[in-house]
Amino acid sequence: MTTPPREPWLDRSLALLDRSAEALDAATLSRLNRARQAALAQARPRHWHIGAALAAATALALAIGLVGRGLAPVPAPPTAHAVSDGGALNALADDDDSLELSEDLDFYAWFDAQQHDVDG
Amino acid sequence: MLPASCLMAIPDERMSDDARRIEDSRAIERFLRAVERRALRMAEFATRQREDAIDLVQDAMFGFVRSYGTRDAGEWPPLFWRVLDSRIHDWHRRQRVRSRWFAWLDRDNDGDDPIAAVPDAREPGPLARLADGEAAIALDAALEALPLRQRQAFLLRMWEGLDVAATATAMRCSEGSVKTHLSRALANLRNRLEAHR
Repeated sequence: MTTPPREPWLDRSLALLDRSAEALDAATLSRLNRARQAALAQARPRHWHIGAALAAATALALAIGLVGRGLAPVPAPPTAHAVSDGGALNALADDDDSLELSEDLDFYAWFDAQQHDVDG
Repeated sequence: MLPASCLMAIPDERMSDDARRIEDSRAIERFLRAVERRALRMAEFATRQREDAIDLVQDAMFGFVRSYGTRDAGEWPPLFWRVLDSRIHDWHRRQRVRSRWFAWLDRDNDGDDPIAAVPDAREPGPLARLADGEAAIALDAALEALPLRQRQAFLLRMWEGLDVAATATAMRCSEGSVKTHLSRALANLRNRLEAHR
């Protein structure tokens, strides 16, 4: 392999090219630096990936737990039926004459409470 | 209690991998820092626009680190220039497509001339601001007048100092093609620049 002979015009041209590369302004050099750092960020160790994966796994586990609890059957809140006397209500319901009254559960709840007060 | 020398000898695979990766990263940074200015000038000769040239160099850095960062450092120079050369060719291809579209629009709008309304984005050449005035402007014009392959062969072989094989790798062509392009480039430049002293 032979190197092409270096003629004067060629030496001058290469020197001009070298100077042009050295003469870049600060703003351009800064942008080149940022470009280089961004490119290098691909090659650096990525511990943050492990941290992000762990955080995502934890968040997923929490989400699954919360959703699971949300889907489980929840006991119904107590109603007027629960505090009333079931036996008495059934007896009243069996009585045709009292069928209409059996629908007024508030009245029976109040009546039951009155009875307890009298007995007490 | 174990002596300190034993503790130091305990292997930690992950730590050594990280340390090696950091060292590799530093080596790549040194390499990129060494070539980035000339890369920018080369891209500027190709595009005549600072913004596009910086974008091309940034793309080349990304592509190089992603594709060849794990290669042996001795292989880096032709591979980096190969990536940049590829980006420069892609840029020229996009410009050709864009100019075809402009030409098509121009044909359809006989009255209006959208191309005439677009400001010329070309900037003074990379050498225009040098103190050497006339010689710098002459070299700038001579390099601009070269076909892309000839200019790349000249810059890679003569300025960057790659040998013929590495230049062929960078330009994705045979060594014979490199010699042909370089010979023509030198002849063209000599004709234009020999008179400037």
